[in-house]
Amino acid sequence: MAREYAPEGFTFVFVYTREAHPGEYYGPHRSMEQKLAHARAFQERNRIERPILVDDLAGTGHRLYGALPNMTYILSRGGRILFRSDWTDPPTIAMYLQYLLAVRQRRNAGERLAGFYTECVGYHNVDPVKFQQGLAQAGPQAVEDFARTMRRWNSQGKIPSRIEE
Amino acid sequence: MTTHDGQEEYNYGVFEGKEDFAGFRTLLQVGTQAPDFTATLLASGASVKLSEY
Repeated sequence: MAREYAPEGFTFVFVYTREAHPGEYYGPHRSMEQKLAHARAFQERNRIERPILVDDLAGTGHRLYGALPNMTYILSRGGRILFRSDWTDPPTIAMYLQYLLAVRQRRNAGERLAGFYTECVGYHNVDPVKFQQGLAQAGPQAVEDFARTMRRWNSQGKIPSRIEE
Repeated sequence: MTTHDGQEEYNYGVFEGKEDFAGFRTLLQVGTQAPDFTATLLASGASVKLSEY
C-alpha cells in the first residue's frame, strides 16, 4: 500500500513500540540496543520497506498517541490529525486515502470544501490461527499469557478492543 | 521524564490486556495538531522527529 500511494504524495511510516506480547524469544525491552535488535528482526521477518521509527525505551511517542498495540493515524501535511483508529486495517486505510484523493480532485475542480467531524466503526480481519502463530514467535509464555487474558475477558463478557454490533 | 519504574511498567513482562481502548477515543481529537516526538530511524540509527515525515 505504501508503494501504491507514494506517487500520490502519501508517506507511510511505521513506529516501532514495545513488545505487546513478550515471551522467551522476544522479551520486554530493557535497553535501546535490544529494542533496535528486535525492530530489525521484525523488519526482516515482515519484509517491511517503509521507514521504521523506533520509539524510545520509555515509549514517549507511543504514550502520546494512546499506547495501544496496533493504532493507525493519518496526518495532513501540516501535521493535523485527519484519521485515527485503535486498530490497523488496510482496507479501512485505503478507504480513507481514496476519500482524501477524491477531496483533492473536488478542490482541483473548483469546489469549496470545509472540514467537519465524523466517527465510524471499522472492521478488521480476525484470524485466530495467524494470531497464535504470531504469539508463538515471541515464545510459549506469550501464548499462555494471552490465553489467560482471553479467559478473563470471556468471563467478563467483553474483549476491550471490540465494538459489538 | 519517565522513571525507571515507569519504564518497567511500560515494558511489561507479562501481557495482561490492560490497554485503555476506551481512553483512546478521547485522548487526541481529529482536526488537532499531532504531537511531535523524537525517535531512532532504524535504517541509519539517526535521531529523527515524526514531523520530518
